[in-house]
Amino acid sequence: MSMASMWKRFVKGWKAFWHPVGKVQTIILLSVLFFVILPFFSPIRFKDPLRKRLGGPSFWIKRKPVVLDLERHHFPF
Amino acid sequence: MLIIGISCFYHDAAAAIVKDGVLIAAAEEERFTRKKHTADFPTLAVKYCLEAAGATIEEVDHIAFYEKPFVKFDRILTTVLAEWPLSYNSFIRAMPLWLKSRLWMKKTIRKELGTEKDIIFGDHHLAHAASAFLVSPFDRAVILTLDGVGEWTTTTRGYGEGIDIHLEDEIQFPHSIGLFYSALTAYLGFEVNDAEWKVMGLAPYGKPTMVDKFEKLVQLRDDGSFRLDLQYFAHHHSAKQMINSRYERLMGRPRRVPESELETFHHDVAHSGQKMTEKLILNLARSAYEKYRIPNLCIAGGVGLNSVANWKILKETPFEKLFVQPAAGDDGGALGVAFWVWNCLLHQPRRFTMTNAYFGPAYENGQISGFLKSAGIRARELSREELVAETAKRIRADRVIGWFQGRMEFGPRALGSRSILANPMNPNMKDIINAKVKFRERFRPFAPSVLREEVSHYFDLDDDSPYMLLVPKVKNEKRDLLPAITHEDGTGRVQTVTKADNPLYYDLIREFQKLTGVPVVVNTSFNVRGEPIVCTPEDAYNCFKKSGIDVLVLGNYILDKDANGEVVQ
Repeated sequence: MSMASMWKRFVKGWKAFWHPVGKVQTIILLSVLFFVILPFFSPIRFKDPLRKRLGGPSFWIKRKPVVLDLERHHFPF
Repeated sequence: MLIIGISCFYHDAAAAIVKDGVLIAAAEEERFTRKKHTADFPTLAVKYCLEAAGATIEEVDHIAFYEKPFVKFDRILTTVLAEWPLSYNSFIRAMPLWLKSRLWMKKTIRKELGTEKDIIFGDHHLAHAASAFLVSPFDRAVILTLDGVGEWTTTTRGYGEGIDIHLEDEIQFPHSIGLFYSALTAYLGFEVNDAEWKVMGLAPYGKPTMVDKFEKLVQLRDDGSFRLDLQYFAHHHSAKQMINSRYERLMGRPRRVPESELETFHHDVAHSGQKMTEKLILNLARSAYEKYRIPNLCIAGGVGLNSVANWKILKETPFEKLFVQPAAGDDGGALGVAFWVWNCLLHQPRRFTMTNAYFGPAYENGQISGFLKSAGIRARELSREELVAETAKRIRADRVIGWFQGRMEFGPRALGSRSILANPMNPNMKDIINAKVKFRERFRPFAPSVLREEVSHYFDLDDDSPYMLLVPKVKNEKRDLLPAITHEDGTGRVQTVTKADNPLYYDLIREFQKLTGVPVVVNTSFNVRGEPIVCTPEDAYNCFKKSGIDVLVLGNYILDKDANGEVVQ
């Protein structure tokens, strides 16, 4: 077995071992973010961003006109 | 000038290519990867589009993606914060995907395409609107876009004129007709984003006994707007659930377990939910007509595939003409964003009207013959006239035909290129196709293809319906003649066929008419349950071999099975 193929096998095994570890680590980090950091921003709910309140004469929202400039749309926002 | 449009990363990934304002090719990625409704980047669909245009990615002038990822991310984050801590699962599922690739969409697309070209980001509902209006036959039309959700928007109302699109009003997430229907689909134990058709097919078996319950779920306004009562839903905080226990309590029963028996109760739920959906859509359509007073209507977005509601718009609102593009769902976003760039951003004139859906790959007889030889399959080669005559004879003899011809359809419906065809006059044909090929629920109807000039003799319709997106009544006196395509409520999801758009298919139906007096055939998609529609001759042959299809017509080649189901060599 050549050094190159041994290295490939080692990398493959390394990835296979660390992939699930990485997944668990991601969940732990995101959970910390969710329960520790996000609560500071959650008062946003009092502004009713999802428009949960019912009632009122109309539920339409006026759309802003789209700027028809090619350059403007090279941004993902 | 070449423009590629791409839609992906939600469901039904697709690509389309427009050359100097004319659609050259469009296809869903699922057809190539064989993964139904795949959301993956449409690498193979892009490759096909480039081949069809005879270009490399570097020769493409503009690459356009169908939505703005950051705006979508804003919606996801806002929803997570607004629904904290209920939104935990949704957050944990969404964030890795977004942090890994979707926030870096420009880089992701460039990497997938192997180019450093700049990317244009469209707007999800503008792409929908463009996908209908800019390829429609209308110079002026009202536009309604209705789907589950794009970035924030779920519904828009506006109009199009020439090359301009004005979407003036919108409804935002989580208030959505598409998600309302998906909730109904989930409650009935069907798969969301896949089996909405089943609800529509099941509805005619029920009665509107529960409409009052559905009315509690939505507040409607006379101006066409609406809002869901979110107490009953879960889609705004859950990535997995559409409804909560309050919804179940309102309906009076827990949600149906998938694949369990469908009872009268479920029929009534489907019927009442469909009625409520129609009420919402008709209210929107009427309000849009009142506002703009234009007799033409374009509808786009997944809800535009609700062909029963489409038909009611034509029958029950002042609109005189309706255009729904065949890939009305997110797949059509690829086509829409490409035309939006051409017409709206580059201010180029309209040069293309969509009259058919045949924009997928085609396989010449030489390629089919090559496949047959390499696989060691012997098939009879026929002339065009012989092919039409032999196939029509077999349909009359109640054989089930796999029909593979010309360019594959763009959109979810098989329209005579990748179709399973059968005799509409056989009262058992629905059961035969279900038992032999489709293995699908008995309540689901099969659709008819009818010659355009004959449609008014058989259906309550005298207009074009080339994409099976209208469901008129079968004429009373013809229902007994066409039992295989007449649904429980006496309707049929009609495809009209013209010589100009599909000459071979037209000639086949004409030949069948010569034999039987009836210019109608059963047309259902060429696939088995759970698989995408076939794309290549190999897919078609595999489907033919593993299912009970009796005859396979591959281009000019015909293969029969004997009584034992063995391919006759």
